[in-house]
Amino acid sequence: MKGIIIALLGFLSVLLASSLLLRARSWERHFIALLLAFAVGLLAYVWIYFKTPYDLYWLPAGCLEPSRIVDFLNGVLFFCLMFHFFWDFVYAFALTGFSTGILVNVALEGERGIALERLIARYLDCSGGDRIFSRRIPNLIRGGYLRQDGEVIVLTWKGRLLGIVVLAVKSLLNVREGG
Amino acid sequence: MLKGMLISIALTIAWVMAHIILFRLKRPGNLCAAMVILFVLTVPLFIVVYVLTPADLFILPAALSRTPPALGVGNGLVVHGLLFLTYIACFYYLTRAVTLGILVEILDRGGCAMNIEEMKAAYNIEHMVRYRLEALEQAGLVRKAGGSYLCTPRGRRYARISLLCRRVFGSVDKWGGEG
Repeated sequence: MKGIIIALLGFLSVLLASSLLLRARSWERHFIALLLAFAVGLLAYVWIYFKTPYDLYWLPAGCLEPSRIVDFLNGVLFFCLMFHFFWDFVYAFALTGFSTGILVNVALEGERGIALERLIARYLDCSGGDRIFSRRIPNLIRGGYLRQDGEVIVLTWKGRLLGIVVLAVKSLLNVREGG
Repeated sequence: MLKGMLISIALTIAWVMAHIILFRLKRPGNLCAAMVILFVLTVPLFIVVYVLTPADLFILPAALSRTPPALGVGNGLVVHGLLFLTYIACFYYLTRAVTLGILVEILDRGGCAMNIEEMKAAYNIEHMVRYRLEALEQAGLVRKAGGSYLCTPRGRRYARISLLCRRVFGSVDKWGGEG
């Protein structure tokens, strides 16, 4: 129980640290800020765990795991799973998710709603091109997943490997649409 | 604690296999609902398995089998819930992310390269917005009234969560989303 309580506090500090780090400066790669917050949170967990008494001064005996190493590792697992969910939720769903973006655009229109044409127009940039291509393709090229040879986009070995994994998972789950 | 964790891991593996088999045999219309229903079934199953099996699960050493039952069940259920959230987050990221979809699209064409115009046709913004709106409508997050799309109360709640994340962790522009 001690491990879970400290992991929960560590996770709250990760939320706070992530927010501060992300707002304090502009990060070219946001995951570095998140990883930094994770590392700080994990170190804080380990330090607090070994510097405090096993009952945290108030936990009753029925809430204590007899094996300290199991309790410690249980806390680490709890902390890692919470952090992973937070990362995936915030990054892939709340901030960069395409469907979420559409939902937010519709929600911001309130009771008036929004016509399909107006919604599509929001995904076009000022030159008439669409924002999927003007953002995601350069991001993939910067990340080393794609490279551009003139008018052709080519998968690098890294992009190919990731594509194969995603394709295999989608085939296994029988979920080929999406994206 | 180890007993609860091991039961949770075993049930999570069984749950993943069950929904893979289900998706391959007869794909449900609402994938998320199907996964949640299957997962909910594993919760009472967890408690039954925990109560009916010996403290050492036939394999654990005595030193790791002395967890108070209430703590073991409670901790195991928390881990079980976190494993579920982790899997769901990965599932949606791998199957729905536009960025990963672009890599799969190139790979799926049989080669490792794609003309920019071909790619723009495959990732037509109008088609993508329509497709996602249909999915959001199916999920009960938006509804169509006249020629416009409006958020349902549930959709507005999701949108508010996303807007809150944007306020706490920075704008979508900063993160490389579309809006």
